[in-house]
Amino acid sequence: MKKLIYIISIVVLLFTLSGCESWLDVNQDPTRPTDVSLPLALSPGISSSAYVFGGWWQILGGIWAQHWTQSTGASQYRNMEDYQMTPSDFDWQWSEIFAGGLNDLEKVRNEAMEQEDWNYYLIATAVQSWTWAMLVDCFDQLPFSEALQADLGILNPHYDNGQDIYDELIDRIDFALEQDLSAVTSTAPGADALLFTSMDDWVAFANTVKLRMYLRQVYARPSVAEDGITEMINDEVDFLISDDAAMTQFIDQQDRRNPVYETGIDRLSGNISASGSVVNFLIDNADARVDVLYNRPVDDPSAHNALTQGDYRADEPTNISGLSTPALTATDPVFFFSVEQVNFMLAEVYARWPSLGNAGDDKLYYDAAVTANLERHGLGAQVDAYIGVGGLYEYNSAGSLEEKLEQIIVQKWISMVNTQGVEAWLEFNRTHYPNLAPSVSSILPAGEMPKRFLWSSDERGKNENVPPLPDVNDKVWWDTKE
Amino acid sequence: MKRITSILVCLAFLGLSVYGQDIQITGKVTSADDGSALPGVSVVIKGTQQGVSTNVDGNYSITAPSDATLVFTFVGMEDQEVQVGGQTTIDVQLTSGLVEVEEVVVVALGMRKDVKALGYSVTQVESDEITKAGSSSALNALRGKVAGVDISSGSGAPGASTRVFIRGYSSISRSNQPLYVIDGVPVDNYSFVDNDLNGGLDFGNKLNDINPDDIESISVLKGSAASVQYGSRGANGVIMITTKNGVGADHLTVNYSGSYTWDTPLMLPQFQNEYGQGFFGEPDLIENTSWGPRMNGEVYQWGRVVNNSQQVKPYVAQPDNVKDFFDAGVTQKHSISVSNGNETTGYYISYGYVGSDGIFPTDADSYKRHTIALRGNTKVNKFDISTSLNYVKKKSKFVPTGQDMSVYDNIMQVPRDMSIVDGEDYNDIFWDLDGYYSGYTLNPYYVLNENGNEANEDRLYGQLVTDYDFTDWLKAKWNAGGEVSNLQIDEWRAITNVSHNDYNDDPGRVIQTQIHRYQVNSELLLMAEKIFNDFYVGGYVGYNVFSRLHKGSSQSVTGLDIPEFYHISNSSSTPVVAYAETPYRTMGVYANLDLEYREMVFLSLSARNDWSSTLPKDNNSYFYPGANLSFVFTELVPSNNILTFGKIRGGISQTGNDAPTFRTDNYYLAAYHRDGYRDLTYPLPGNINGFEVSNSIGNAELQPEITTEWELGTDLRFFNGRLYIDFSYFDKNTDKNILDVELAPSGGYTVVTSNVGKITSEGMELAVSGTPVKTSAITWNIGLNFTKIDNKVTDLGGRERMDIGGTGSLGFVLVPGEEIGLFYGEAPSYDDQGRIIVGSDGLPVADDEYQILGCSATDWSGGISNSVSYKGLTFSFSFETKQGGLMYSRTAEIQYFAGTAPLTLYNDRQPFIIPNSVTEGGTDGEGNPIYVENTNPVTNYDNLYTYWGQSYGGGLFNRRFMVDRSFVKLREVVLSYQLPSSLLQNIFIKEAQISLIGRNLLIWTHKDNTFIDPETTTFGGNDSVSDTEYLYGEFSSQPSTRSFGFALNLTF
Repeated sequence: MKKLIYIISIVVLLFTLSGCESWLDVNQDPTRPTDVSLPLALSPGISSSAYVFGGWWQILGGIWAQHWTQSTGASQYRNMEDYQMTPSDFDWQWSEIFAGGLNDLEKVRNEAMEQEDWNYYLIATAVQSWTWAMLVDCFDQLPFSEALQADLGILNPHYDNGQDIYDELIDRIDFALEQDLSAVTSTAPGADALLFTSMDDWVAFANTVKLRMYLRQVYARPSVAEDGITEMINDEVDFLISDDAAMTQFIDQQDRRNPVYETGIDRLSGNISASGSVVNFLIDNADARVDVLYNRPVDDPSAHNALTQGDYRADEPTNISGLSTPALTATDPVFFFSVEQVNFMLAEVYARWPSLGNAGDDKLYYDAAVTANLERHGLGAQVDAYIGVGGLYEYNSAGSLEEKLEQIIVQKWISMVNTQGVEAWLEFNRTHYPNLAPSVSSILPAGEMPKRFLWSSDERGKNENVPPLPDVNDKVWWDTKE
Repeated sequence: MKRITSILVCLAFLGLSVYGQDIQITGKVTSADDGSALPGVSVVIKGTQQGVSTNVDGNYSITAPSDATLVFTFVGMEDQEVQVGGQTTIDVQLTSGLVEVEEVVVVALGMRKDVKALGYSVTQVESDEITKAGSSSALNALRGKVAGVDISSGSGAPGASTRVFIRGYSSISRSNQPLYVIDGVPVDNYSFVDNDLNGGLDFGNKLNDINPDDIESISVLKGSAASVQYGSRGANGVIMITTKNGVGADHLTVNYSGSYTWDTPLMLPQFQNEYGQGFFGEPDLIENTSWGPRMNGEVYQWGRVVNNSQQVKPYVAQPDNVKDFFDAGVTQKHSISVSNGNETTGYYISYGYVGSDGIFPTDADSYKRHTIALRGNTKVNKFDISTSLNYVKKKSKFVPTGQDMSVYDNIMQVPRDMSIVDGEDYNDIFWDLDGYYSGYTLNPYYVLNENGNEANEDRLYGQLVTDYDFTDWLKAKWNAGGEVSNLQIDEWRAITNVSHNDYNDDPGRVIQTQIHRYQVNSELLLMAEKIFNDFYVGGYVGYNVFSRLHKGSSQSVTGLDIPEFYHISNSSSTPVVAYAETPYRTMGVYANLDLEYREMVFLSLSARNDWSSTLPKDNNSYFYPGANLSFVFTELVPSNNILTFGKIRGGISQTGNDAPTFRTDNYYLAAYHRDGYRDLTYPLPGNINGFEVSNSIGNAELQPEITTEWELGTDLRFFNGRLYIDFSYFDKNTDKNILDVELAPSGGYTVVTSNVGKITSEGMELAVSGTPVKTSAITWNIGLNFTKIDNKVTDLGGRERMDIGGTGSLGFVLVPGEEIGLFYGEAPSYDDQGRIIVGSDGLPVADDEYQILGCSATDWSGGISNSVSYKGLTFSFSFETKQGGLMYSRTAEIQYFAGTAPLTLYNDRQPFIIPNSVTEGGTDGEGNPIYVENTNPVTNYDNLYTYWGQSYGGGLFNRRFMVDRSFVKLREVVLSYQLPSSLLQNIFIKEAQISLIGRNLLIWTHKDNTFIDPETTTFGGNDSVSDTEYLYGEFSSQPSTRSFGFALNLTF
């Protein structure tokens, strides 16, 4: 009996007196790391921007750039067509871009700076600046200097105006470019990086971000734009004129597809149809790209049928099977910059400031851009018919700047169909080309069109320092062209 | 049989012999009036608080010193004291007359205490009350019977989970579920509830898997004064379950109890039956809505043209089309137990089975449960050991709730002129995927049969409770318990391709989920008690260690290659896998001191210190004290026949509640991007992996939530116990509520966990019971309970509002100073005279700002139960009511969308002007709008639909989908007949009782609620998230059920 008592006592003691502080030390999630390498943290920062600008906002941009329009018989994007946006329409994307991509890239920038990993510092700074600049272009004022620091206690970041953010971004990129990219502390961009594996490409990417920012403010601050661009041209920096900066890692599986295709085609099917604005333009010009960019109606493939922008209340056809639709696939890339886009930018640069280069440089870049786009669509053999002498879109070398600009931007608009809706809409805001009429379902005063996105309702509800909400047709800071 | 049981007893307690100072006394207590057995008689060792109650047969068993005196007391009977004098069998007859109150209830740590001594409110429910209506869930059997306790079940689905809220919410973001303790050992009550709007699942909570027939009593410790011994885990109250054992039975007892019930929908929506399929008032053969023309009885060709043919039917209403879809569900329940024992040793073995097939056709909603319980008790030398081992095997299937092509969603959109049951053969050319008339929905039979799920669980739990008496005043106790469970859930969806649209296409999918849980609890106690003249001093110190590990994993693929082959390998897509591992550990030391003076004044002091793994490492210790006092003032007044017993009690105590796991550090996550529809998930093709910074900021400064509660109460008994009143008032404040505070995303994060909230719960509980009639032939007992709780948020860390849930554009929020759970969303605008402002289309104009649209909280609740016995016949019934509060009903929303709600007949669907409406008629000098009487009607084309139906998905007319949650239910009706023993004299059956039983037979709802049983919920039932969303409402839940049938109870 005594023995039994001893045994039980020992068992009791073992069970109950094992306690010590370390026994309680189990509150670290075994399924989530607390620290990761720079390459592993960088990819989500890049793909977050691709997901937002190449996903839901690509749909919004595609509709506002009049590449696409809401179909009849469905209603998912009617608010976009009506220009009736509310802050909550921007909630998911705002959170994804700030608490996702920008913050991830900020972490990489900080860590890279600490480790003096100047390669990763430049990559993260360049991609983050690309995103920041796009956000300024869409939202104007933004939390910037106080943003991305909630972990340091800044929970109500103040808003900076767009121009200041632009200037700071240029400084940031310049600082990153000045660092020693061959330092031993720098990591070579490997297969982990989504866009490029060569630092030369990343340098060109950073310069192209700057170029786009200068061009954007060409009407608001002409001398800043001219000086900045002149300096880059004189320094003979590289731009991305022969490589796309595009995220291509998509396959046709759920949650691994191109984001527009995933949500806009596979999940919310039957909504996105071709806009008459582009389709009719292409048909009027007998441009063969119409059948590459758009599918003909399922019900009657004999001819294209595209709605007038915003005419989703039309009686006929009753749904999308009677309409032309954009030719999208699950594996389409998401572009940060396309070759065409960069060449069009340079065409504009030389058209504006011929003295920066040789005579005819604008035509050179214009032709390269259109050619690249035709080749992309399998029409490389017909380049002459488009831009050769007497061709459809032959460059008007003798025209005025405004005529040249219209030609460049209209071709740029076409080159961005299905891929770069936001950029095409921003360029329309900046240059007023092509000459688009408002959606017929607009609720804005006659002639008005959307000029900006709205700060999200999550942001407005939780940040005390959000300025009063502007209207969707209020222009952003650089949007000053008469 | 006797031999087998003898062997079992020998095996269990081999070689242990019996001697010592304490002896085991058994016996039977009967009524001197008619010789009937008296259950629930309190048997207490005089001069101590130790005691037991007699069982249903009037038998008891107690361990007492051989020279002790036993006191037998029972309501309405005179007390009797018996000297033990070494006897081991003491049978007692009690006579009716003047009584004293000596009731024993089970309190914390499984101890039994005289109710007199309690400074807080405890309600104990005995086995008969739990099992009589044949519920397979012991918790559901308590509904409406305990003041201050809100018990509800999510739906009528077999095996659906039951949620219990004691005295309102005390935490905003932590679980508010009570701790469950079986025979002194805490057990796991994990529930697998998936609140996905695109297919919600409810595979029940673990407490519902206990065989109710194994339960002797359930005791509810409501306030923190009662539960302080359990620390954090008892912060929401404790439910103590005492199981049956065989000690003192003195003969082999075999008991069978069984029931067979039918289940039918308790409340189906009401429908309009005047307008049929169509839209905008026009017929449309592929519509899923009833916005078509008035049904005129004409025979017409309808549906799709298949093989050049079309179906023909008259255009008339099918008033019962939804009702006809449902079958009568069937539930059978069997439980058999074998028990035996002598004065010192006993065993109890039971097997229970529940088989339930719910109201949907097929067995897609079903629940099968096998339970085995083995228990043994023995007293050896100075040891008193009890042990148990329980096994549960469960298999259930659940028809998913929600949108995204759930069965109910498809049913609710069938036009009023269409039959549903005609589509049962979903391979028929007119009813298959392509032939089905609707261009937007699927044949519900297809969904029901082709998609499905199955949950299988195995669970083993057991315990060892050891007492050791050092001396007659000092004792040690060790309670150890452990459990392990494995749950596997398989879900599948068929490859669905509809040729005429692709809204409903599904590439097919397989989802597998595994949940493993392990739990160990150890409680070591040193207890002492001593009497000094008029004083009694008792107390204990204890040490507790608790550890739980949750492991969950899931694998899924979308896009199947081989039809109807539901295996994770059947896809070219990369499976999506997830894994979570959540350890949770606590330690605690506690002490309790009881002081008693002349059985009149009782003071109890307690304190506990906890250490929790979820708090910051260097600051994980927290302390909280409690005190309560009971004063039996009737000890000071002369004995009389009116006020037999009176006590006032009061207590104040604190409880600390620790943090959710993993909130103290910053993490990276496997990356994904999300737009609310579909994701982009890492790793990316090309072997690119990525980790992103988590959106929630870790907080290394987290502190425990502290609840301070005080309560005052009284316990009064009149007329020798014929009338009993128990009243409590409580006020509970929880400070430093741990909230996931949402942040402006521009800071780079969306959530930080902080101690910012304060909530209060203030309320009263009243229980009145009485025996208006008691003659030798007839006894009529009546019980009534009433609860009113005011549960408010007082602070949210300076925030005006916090989201705790919601769907679409209808939010569910907390607002400081208001009740918990307010609806918040878009609303029409009104002018300063309260007239609704409409636009040129006659439709209301939305207010710029979102508005608070109503409150979900119940104003008060109550229950009445009655029991009338005449000889062997007993008729009992109970009602429960909850009054006040609103709920969101998607069933209502879909009925407006589909034009089937009765109110859509308003003005016979002709154009109308919204009553008391104004419209803008220019502006005044200062540019403010002037409102003039509105003359623009809502037309019967586009706008009529917009007014009623197009708010589908939320918006301006949210208020219409929020229905009053008040109800009265006829909860239980039982008519039972105990066969006279004279009939059974010569057969092997000792006792037999047969009953007709009914549960939830009738419901009365608020007149505006024509939609759904307001107790239904599809929110907040998941353990891993806060349960404050529980009251939000339902997202296309199936109807709740009524049950009726018969039960049989036999003792051999």
